[in-house]
Amino acid sequence: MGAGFRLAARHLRLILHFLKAILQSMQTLFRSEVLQQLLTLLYLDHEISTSGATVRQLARRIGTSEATISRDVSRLVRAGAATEERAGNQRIVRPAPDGPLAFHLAGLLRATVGPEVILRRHLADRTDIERAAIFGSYAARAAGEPGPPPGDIDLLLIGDISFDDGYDLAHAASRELGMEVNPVIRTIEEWENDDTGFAAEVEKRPTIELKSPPA
Amino acid sequence: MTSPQPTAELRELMRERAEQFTSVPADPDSARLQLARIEQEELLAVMVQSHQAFLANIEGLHRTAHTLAYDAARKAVDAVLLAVGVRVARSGGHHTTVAAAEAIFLPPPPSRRRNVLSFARARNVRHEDEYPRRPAQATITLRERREQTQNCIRLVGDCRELLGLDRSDEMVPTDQRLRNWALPTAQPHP
Repeated sequence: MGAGFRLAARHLRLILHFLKAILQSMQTLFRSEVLQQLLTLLYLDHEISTSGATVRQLARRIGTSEATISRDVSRLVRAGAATEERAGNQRIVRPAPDGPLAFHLAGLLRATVGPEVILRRHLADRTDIERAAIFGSYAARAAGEPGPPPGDIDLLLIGDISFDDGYDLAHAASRELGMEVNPVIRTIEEWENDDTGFAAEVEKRPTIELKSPPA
Repeated sequence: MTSPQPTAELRELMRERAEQFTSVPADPDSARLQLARIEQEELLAVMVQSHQAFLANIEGLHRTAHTLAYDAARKAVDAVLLAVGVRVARSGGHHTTVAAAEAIFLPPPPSRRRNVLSFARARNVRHEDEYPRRPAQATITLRERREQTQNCIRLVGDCRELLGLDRSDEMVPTDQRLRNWALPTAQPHP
């Protein structure tokens, strides 16, 4: 009984120690809104995640001072979430693709502030859209298919939505995401009677369903 | 004659993507001449293709009309940029022209919003037409293609208006116009 209790207490101490370590990492990474925006740009903005960005460019995108970004970049580099390279007097910042955090961090950001979350927000209360889904390379990568990082998001919108409203929605989401959103707009009838092979192709490949027709 | 000033959004875009733009002398007169050529050449070609596509309903002709209309809109946006003293550099490409068009036409008045957002999607469609990934991936319907063709020509009208010229909306290929349309008699260049 006593030995069992000691073992349980030891396990509990280990778990607490582990949780404390995770919390410390999380506090480093998400301690401020600026830091979170910085991570989102580094991991979810196609151009920055592939080519990197200078501190000045990052400061301009986020709308804060270069000093703030510079300090937060140093924090991310120490935490293993970003890398930096000097080019003259500029610091080029990139995500740390091989770092232990990168894979989980990208997933965490997608799940909390990523395209699915933002698009669902834009789709809420839209009675003119029956079904909405992400398809194409973004959905394929999210499903674990190997390939280059997606450069844009293919968004399928089915319903009575006008082209103007569809373009508007995609544009607003693109602005927020810093990533191009390409809307493909169909009426229910067009989708059901599609004879180009496009609908069949979308249905057999990975999709991320954002809005489904009522059962 | 009106000489447009760059919007705050365009100035910001030019700062952010300095390497994708080249400074040139602001030349509203040449810009207006370029728009006049678009009307006489590209828009006329769009009408011919649209008319033939309307009569024969051949998808390939609708595609050609769409490409011509997109190119006319792109050149019209380039003309506005010339009037404010900037060109899209080779490294910028169509993508930067679309971003510049959004920076010019998305700020109020809202009446121009529809045409420029349609132009952005038309760039995408034109890219798919030019570099098809696979035959099954035709993401655009004929209905949307025709609407984009119309909106691209309306965007040419928006550009003309910005440079103090009359709009050219009588060249928008609506069904009614295509039914009654006949090739105009040739006019010499100004």
